[in-house]
Amino acid sequence: MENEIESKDIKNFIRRRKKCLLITFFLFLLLGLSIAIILPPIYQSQTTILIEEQQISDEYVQSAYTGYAEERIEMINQQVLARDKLMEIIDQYDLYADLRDRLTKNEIIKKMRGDIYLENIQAPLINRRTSRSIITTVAFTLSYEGKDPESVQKVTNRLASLYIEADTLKRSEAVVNTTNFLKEELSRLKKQIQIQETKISKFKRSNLGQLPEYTGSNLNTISRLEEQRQRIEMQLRSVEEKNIMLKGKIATVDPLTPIIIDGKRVAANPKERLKFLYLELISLQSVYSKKHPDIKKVKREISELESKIGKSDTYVAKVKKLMYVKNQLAVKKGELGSNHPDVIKLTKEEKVLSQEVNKLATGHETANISKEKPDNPLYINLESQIASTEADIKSFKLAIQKLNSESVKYYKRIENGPRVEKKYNELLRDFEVIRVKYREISDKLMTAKSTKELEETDRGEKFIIKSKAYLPEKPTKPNRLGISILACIVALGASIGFSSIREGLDHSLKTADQIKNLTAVPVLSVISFIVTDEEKRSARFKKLFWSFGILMVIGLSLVIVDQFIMKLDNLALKLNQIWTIVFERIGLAA
Amino acid sequence: MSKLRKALEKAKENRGIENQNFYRDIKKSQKPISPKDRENDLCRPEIDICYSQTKIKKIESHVLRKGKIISLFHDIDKIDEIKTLRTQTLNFLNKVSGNILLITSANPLEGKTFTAINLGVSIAQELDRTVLLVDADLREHTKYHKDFATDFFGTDMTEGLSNYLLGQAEIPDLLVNPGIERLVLLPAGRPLPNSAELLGSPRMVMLVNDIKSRYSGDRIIIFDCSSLLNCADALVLSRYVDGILLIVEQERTTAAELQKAMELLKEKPFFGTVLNKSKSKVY
Repeated sequence: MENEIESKDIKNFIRRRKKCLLITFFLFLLLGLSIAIILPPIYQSQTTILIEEQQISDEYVQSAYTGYAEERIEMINQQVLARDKLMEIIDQYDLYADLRDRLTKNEIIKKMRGDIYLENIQAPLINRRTSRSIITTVAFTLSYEGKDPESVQKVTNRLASLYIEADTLKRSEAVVNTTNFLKEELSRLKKQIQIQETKISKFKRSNLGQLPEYTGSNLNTISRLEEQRQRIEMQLRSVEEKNIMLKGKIATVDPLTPIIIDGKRVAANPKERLKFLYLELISLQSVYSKKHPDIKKVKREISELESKIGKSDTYVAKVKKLMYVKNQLAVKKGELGSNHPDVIKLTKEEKVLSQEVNKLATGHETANISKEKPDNPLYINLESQIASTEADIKSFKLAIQKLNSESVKYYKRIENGPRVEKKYNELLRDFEVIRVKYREISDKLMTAKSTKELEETDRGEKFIIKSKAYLPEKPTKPNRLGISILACIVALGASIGFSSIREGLDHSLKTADQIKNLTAVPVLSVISFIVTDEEKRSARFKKLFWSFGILMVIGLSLVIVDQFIMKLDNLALKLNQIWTIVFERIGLAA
Repeated sequence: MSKLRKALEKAKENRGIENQNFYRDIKKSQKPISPKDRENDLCRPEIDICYSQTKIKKIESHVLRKGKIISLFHDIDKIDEIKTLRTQTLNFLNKVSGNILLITSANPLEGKTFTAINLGVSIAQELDRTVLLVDADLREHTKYHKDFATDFFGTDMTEGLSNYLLGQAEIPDLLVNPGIERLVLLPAGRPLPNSAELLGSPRMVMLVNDIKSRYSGDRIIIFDCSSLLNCADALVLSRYVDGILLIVEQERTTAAELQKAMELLKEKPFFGTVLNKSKSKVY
């Protein structure tokens, strides 16, 4: 039974703690209300900035900015809320004058940042391409709060214009940067193209004829040369045949008309005869001595012929004969020994031959002083024919050689063809790549330029002020009514709490049951509190007395104030002012 | 001179009679009681006393009302509470065949005197009893509490128990009837510093014995003394009484104090408590 709280317990509690409840309640209420009244009114002004889409659809011209609106707003926020900008505004509109002495500059700026509010307004938009609705920021509100409504309005507008400026600047910067970058890229690529072109032309030049496009013509040329060569070869062959035939013919013809010595035809070819005679002489010299009549005879014949023909060139024959003799000597020496007469003969012959050969060797160049000119017309004819054919042969051979070398050249070209082709293709490929890139960049530059145009003619996406900041008539803060209500609630809570604590600490006996529990004896009676009329009257009198006393005190203090502090009229005026303010605030709150 | 002398002599005579009959005032009439009734104690003789020796100080009823002696006024509804107390007290006293009560409390100013006086007056309203109300609170007068004569009866009674205990006066001289039938007061008199000792003195014992024996059955004696936890007076007095009543003030006496008081009243004829100054409407 003790644990349940019945209504009579509550009534008793209230009765007991009346004073405590009321005093605490009114104390807190007073406090709260004073706060509600004393707090200065703060006005807030707001402006809405709309993020307007670009006027020309972005299918045609790309927007300068591809970020999300929120990011943009945030970045601009950082810019605008920078220290120097805010300092400017603070100085211009003389804000926070009262806080200048108390707070540092940084703290004032921090406070200002806190007084600026930015809120995104979002709406679901349908993405044209994917036709799905996305929630994007379409506008944002910018508000500023402060004590003076006029300056609040001005500051808000100023901030709004700062935002717009910052955004415009950003966008034009972006555009300019883009175009510049693209331009640079383009010129770089152009240079590359030029380099590549030079490379290609150099290559072409250096590999002229080996390029794949020349393969056809090369083959043609080769076949042509082949044909030519074959023709010339045929001609050559025929001329060679003729030459052989003529040579054969000329062999049968004596270049000189026959020489008559001693009335008889000595030799068809006196040169031959002479040669024979020389050799004869040498062999005779080896056997006989000089004084032998055979040797004298031969010598005589030789001198006669020589006077007619000239000294025949027998150098070669002699060298031949010398070789032969040497061989013979060696063989014979080996067989018969050095003292055999054959061997002695051969040794002598060899000695003479070598002497002759040596003599002839030195006089070889001068040996052909007088060549016997052939005077047989047939012979001469044949000789000239032979000469012409030989000339022809020579020229043909030369031509063929030239053709061969040409062919070789062209064959080489064809050989190199694939390798050259490969390299050439590489070069071409690189070139193509660069060219494609160039085209791309060129396109991009076009786009950027048109975006730039868009921006410059102010048709791009931009921030516009949808509604300018108005002059706030009513303060937004503090919520006096709210504070008052809160104060009431807090006062109530505090008073109940405080009283409950006091009640809890109060261990006095309150009910008969309590007493009965402590004592073993019954509670015989509960006697009510008796107040006589006299006591009531005297209590009332006491209250009156106290109120009167307080009034006296107030009156006295007013007199003192009047005398020593300020005239009551001034005080009244001041009070009136205060009262007006209070009334305003209360009135406004209500 | 003769008139004066006559008066003086008459006075002596009266005193003389009074010396024999200590307290007895002449009963005006007394109905005969049958022995059977006397045994049952249910039927008591009506007592109608004419105070011959006891001083009579007629107190105005408005003064009495101001003094919170509500038992006299039937228009105040709170007297039922007093009546309840009276009935239970009398029952108890009957049970133990006693007639002396002690009224005390744990702390001062809890309403002992108020209760004592009202109880006494209430008992006196019963047509078959008389009450002797003794103010045994001989402590120094405080701001709030002088003695019951001053506080409750609105008059000044300077002579009282203290005088008797000091041997300065005799009881018959000190008794006062405040104009209420069947109620006699013995005021406290001057406050004494050694009240506890005096209350335990042989003179006090003598007084108590005399009171007791003389009026058993008819007269109820109520001692109103100082608070238990303040001083030893109440403990001293508790030796002589038949029943002790403890007054508890609502919302002022703490449980600890009550317990202390209980300790002190162990093995004493403590028979009940009274919750006084209750502000709750329902108990």
